[in-house]
Amino acid sequence: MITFLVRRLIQFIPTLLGVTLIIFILLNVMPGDAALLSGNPRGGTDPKVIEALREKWGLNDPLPIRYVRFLGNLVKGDLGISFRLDRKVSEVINERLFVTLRLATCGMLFAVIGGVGLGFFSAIHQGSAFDIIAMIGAVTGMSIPNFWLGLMLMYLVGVLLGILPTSGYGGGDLAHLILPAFTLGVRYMALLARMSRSAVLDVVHEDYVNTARSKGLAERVVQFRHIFRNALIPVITIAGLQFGGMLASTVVVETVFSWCGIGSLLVESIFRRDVPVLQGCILIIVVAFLVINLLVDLAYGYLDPRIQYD
Amino acid sequence: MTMWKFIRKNNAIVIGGTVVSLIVIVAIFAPFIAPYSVKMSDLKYALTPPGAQFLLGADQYGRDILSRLIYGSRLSLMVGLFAQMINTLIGVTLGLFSGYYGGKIDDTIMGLTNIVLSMPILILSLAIMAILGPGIINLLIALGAVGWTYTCRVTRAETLSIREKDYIDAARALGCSTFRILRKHVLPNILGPILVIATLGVADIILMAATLSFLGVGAQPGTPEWGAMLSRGRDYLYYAPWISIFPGVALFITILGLNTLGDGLRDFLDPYRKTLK
Amino acid sequence: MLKHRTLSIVIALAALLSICVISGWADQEQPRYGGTFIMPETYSAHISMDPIRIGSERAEDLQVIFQAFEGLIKLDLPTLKIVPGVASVPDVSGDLLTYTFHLRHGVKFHNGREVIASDFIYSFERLMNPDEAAVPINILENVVGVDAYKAGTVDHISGLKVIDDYTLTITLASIDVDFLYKLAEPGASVVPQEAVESLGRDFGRTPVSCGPFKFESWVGNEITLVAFQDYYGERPYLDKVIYRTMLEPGTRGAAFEAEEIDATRLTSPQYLKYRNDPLYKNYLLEVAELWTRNLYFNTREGPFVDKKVRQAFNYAIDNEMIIDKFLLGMAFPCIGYLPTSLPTYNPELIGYDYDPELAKELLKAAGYENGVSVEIIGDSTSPTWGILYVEAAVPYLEAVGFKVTLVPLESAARHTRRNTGEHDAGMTSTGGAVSPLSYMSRYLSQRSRAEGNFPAYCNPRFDHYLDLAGKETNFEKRMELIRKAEEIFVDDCPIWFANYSKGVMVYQPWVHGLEPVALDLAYQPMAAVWVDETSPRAK
Repeated sequence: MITFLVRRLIQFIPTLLGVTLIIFILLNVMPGDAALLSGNPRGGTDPKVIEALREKWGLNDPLPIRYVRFLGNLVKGDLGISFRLDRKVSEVINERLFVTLRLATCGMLFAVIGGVGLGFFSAIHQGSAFDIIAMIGAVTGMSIPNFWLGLMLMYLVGVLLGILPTSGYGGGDLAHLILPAFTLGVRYMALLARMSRSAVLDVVHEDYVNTARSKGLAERVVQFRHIFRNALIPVITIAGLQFGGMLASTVVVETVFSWCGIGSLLVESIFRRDVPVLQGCILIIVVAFLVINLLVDLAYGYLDPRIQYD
Repeated sequence: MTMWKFIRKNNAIVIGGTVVSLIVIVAIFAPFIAPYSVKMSDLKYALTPPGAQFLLGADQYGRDILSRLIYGSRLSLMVGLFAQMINTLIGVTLGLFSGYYGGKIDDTIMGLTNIVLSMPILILSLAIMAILGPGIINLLIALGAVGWTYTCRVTRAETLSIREKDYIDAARALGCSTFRILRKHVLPNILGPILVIATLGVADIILMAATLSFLGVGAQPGTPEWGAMLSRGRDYLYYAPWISIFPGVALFITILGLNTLGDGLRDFLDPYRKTLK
Repeated sequence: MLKHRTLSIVIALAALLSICVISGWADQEQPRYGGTFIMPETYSAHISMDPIRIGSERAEDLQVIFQAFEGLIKLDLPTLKIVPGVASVPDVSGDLLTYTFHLRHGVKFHNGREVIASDFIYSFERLMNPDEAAVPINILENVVGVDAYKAGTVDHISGLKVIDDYTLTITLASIDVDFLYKLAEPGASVVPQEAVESLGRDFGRTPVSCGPFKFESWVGNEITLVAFQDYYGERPYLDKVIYRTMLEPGTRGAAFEAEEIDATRLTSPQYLKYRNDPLYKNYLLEVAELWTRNLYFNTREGPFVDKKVRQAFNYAIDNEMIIDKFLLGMAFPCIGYLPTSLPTYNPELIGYDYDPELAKELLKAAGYENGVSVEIIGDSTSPTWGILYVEAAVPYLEAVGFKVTLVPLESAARHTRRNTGEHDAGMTSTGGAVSPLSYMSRYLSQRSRAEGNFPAYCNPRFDHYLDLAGKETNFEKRMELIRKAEEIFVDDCPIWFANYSKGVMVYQPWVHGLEPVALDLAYQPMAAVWVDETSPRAK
C-alpha cells in the first residue's frame, strides 16, 4: 500500500508537467492578444501603448522561453502577475478560492446526502410509488440546464416569494448560499440517486448477498454491511469524477448569482486572454483533482476487498 | 411470449425507445413536418405569443419556434450522438487496454486520462472552440475530444473488477486470445454500464453545448440548436417565456427518453437480471 | 335631495383639493442626507481603480473612478460642459497654446493633505512615464517636451510648469480645440505621490484622490465608496455607494424587483416590460447616448471595396423596423454618424432609406446580379451591437441578393481579426466622445484600424475638413466644417448606419437625482443623488 501511495504521488509530477505544458500551449495558441484587450475596446488606443504592454508582459519572447520562465517561477512559488488586473495571481486566486470551495462543498454535500439517500431507498423499495416518483424527479433534475433553473428559482423564491435574497455572496451567510448551492447540486443529486440505485440493485442480486442471507444474518445487517459498502464503489467513482464537471456548473452558477469565485474568474480571464491567471487557476484545480483521485482510489481499495493494489 | 407481456416486462425500453424513435423520425422528416421553413424570419411577427399562426409562438426575430424546434432536433441529436460516439469509442478502447493489461500501459493511459480529466472540461472546450472558431462541427470536435475520460475510467474500473473473476482465468487457461477474451467476456459485462453512461453522456453533451451557448460560444447564430435557443431566449424569460420554455421542454423530453431507454437496456442486458426473471 | 348631492360634491372636491395640496407639498421634498445606494455594474468585471490603467471607453471602471477622482477641471455629467474642478476653467493665451490654471485653496486629498500644483505635475508625469505603460496617454501627448520625457533624456516634461503652489501652466505643441475635454478625463486626475509610492501596485485596489467620494473597500465583486467629509464642495447626500458586478440581465431584474438594488440599466425586453408597468413606468430614465451602432465594411479588399455594394447594403435594410420590433424601441434611427444630441445635428442630411429595389439595382450595377457572399464578424453575446443584431438584418440582405455568413466571436478573436482586416464586415458600436471632432476623428486616413478606423476609410477631402475643424476656434464654424465632413462620410458610406444608442435605466421610487447622461447612462453624478426614507437602505 505504501509503495502504491508513493508511486501515485510521484506520478503527480509528470501529470502536472503534462497539464501545464498542454495548457500553456493551448492558451498561447488561442487567437487574441491580451495587450490589445487592455486598451479601449473600440480601438483608438495608441499602438505604442499596446506594444509597451506586450513588452512589460513578456509576450514578445518565444514560447519555449516563456514556458521555462513560467516553470522557473512556479518552483519558487510565484504564479506571476495577472495581465488584466495587474495583481499577483496568487492574491487573485486566494480571494476567490474560498467562495468557490464553499459553493462546491455545499452543493456536493447536498448532492451526496440527498442523492445516495434517495437512490438507496428507491432501490430497497424497487417498483414502489416512491421509487418511480424519485426516479422521475431525478431525471428531471438532470435534464434542466442549470442557468435556467437558477434564473427560475431566483425569480420564484427571491422575487415572488421574497424569502431569500436573489443573488450575491452576501458575506457568505446561509440565506445567500441556499439557492446557488441547490442549483449547483441538483444535477449531481439526481445523477447520484440514479447511480446509487442502480449500483445497489446490482449488488442486491449478487451471489454473495444471497450467500450472506442464507447464512441467516439479519436483514438489516445484510442490507447495510454488504449492499451499501459494495454499492458505494461506483458511487464514489462518480462523485470523484464529477469534480471536473462541477467546475463547469460553478462557472454558470457563479455568473447567474453574481458570486465572485474561481468559476467566474476563469471565464473573465479566458475572454481577456489573461494567461497567468488561467494557468494558476488550472494548476490549482488539477492538483485538487489529483488529490481527490487518489482518495477515491484508496477508498476503492478499502471498500472492495477483491481489488488489490501492489 | 406475447407482445403485451414483452411490453410489460420491458416498459422502460419501450417507452424510452418510442420517445427516441419519435425524435429521430422528426429529425429525418423535418422538412415535411415543419409548418415554416427554417429560414423564415419576419420582424413583423416578433415575439408573437403561441396561437393560431405560430403554434408555439415566434421568437425575437419573428421566426416560428415550432419549426425551429423540429429542425433543431437534427442538430441536437447530431451533436449529442456523434460526440458521444467519439467519446465512447476512445474511452472504451483505452479503458479496456488499461484495465486488462495493467502495468506500464495502465500507467500511461491513466496518466493521459488524468491530464485530460483534471483540466476543467468547460475551459478546455472554450479553449478549443476559441482556436477552431464557431460552428456545429467544431462544437462536435471540441466536445468529443474532451469527454472520453469518464467512460475510460469507468470501463477500467469495471474491467479491473471483472479481471479477477474466476471465469476469466478459466478462459485464459483454455488458451483464448486476448481479443477473444475481451470481446466475449469483458465486453458484454460492461455493456450495461457503458450504455447507461453513454445515454447520460449524450444528455451531458447537449447540456454542455447549451452552457457554451450561454457563454457566447458555440453554434452559429440562426442555427436552431436547442441549447442555443434556450440560452438566447433567457433574456426574454420573464417577458416572452415561450422562446426558451419550449426548447427546454424539447431538451427535457429527449433526455428523458434517452435515459429511460438506457435504463431499460441496462436491465435487459444484465445477466443476473436475466436469470432472476 | 339636491342639497345632499351638492354637499357630497363639495366634500369630494374639498378632499380632492386637500390631497393635491398635500401631495404637492410632499413633492417639494428636500434632499435628504444619508443612506446607501447599490448600483449594479453591467458591462464586465472591474479591473482597477487606477485611472491611468483604464481606457476612456471602459465605463465599468470609469463610472466608479468618476466619483472618487478629480482633476483640474471636470465634466458636468448632465450637461456635458466643462466646469471647474480643483482649478477654475483656465485662461488661455492668445496663441491658444498655453493654458493657465488657478487652483482652489484648501482642496484636500482623501488622506488629509492639501492639493497643490506640484501634485498635478507628478500625476501628469506619472501618466506619461513609459515605465507605467499607461493607457490614456493621448490626453497629454500634445504637450511640449513629452517626447524627450518619454525617451528618458529629461526628468520632467518642459511644457508643464509650476508658477506657485496654486498656479500651473500647460503648453501645447500645437493647437488642440478639444484639449479641455481631454483634461476632464479621469486619466488626468490628481493623485498624491506618497500614497502611490507606498501602495505601489495596490494603488489600483485602494486608490486615493480628492473626489467627493472616497474609497472604502473592494471585496470580491463589490466596490464600496463612502462620502468624503472634507470635500471642498457640497458633501454628497449619500453615505455610501456600492458598485456590484452583475452581468446577467435576469439577475439584475430579479434583484431590482426584490428591492435589493436601487437602479439598473435595462435590456430591450426589460424596457418593454417596465414601460408598461403601472408603477415603474414613472421611474424610467431615457437618453440618446453618444454611441453609434454601425457595421464597418472592409474597404480594402473583398466585395465591399465597391461603393455601390456598400450603398446597396444600406438601402437593403429596414432599420426602423429592426429598432421597433427587434430592439423594442431601445434605439434611435440614425441617418448620419453623429448622434442627434451633439451640436452638429444636421436636419438636412440625406441618408439611406429603406429601398430594396434600389439595392438590387446597385448590386446588379456592381456586377453581382446573382448575389454576393459576405462574411460578417461581430460580438457573440450582445443583442444591441453584436452579431445578434446583424441577424435581424439578414432576411433583408438575403432578399436583395447578399449571401451572409455570420461569425460570432468573443472580443479576443474579434479584435485581432478586426485589426488585421480578416473580414468583409464587422458589427460594432463606436463613439463615446463629447466632442464631435473626436467622435468623427477616428476615421481620419492616418488612423489605422487598430486606432479605431475599422473600415480603413481613406478620403483626403474628409481629412481636410476635419483638419480645418481642428484649427477652427469659432464654435459655429467648427461645427459647420464637421457637418461637411459628415456629408462626405455618409456619401462614401464606409459603414452601415444602424442606430444610435438609447440608454434606459429604471430606478426605485425612493431614488432622486439620477440624470440622463448622454455620454453613457452609467456615468451618474452620485454626489447629487439622494434617497428618501422609504428606501430599505435609508440608514
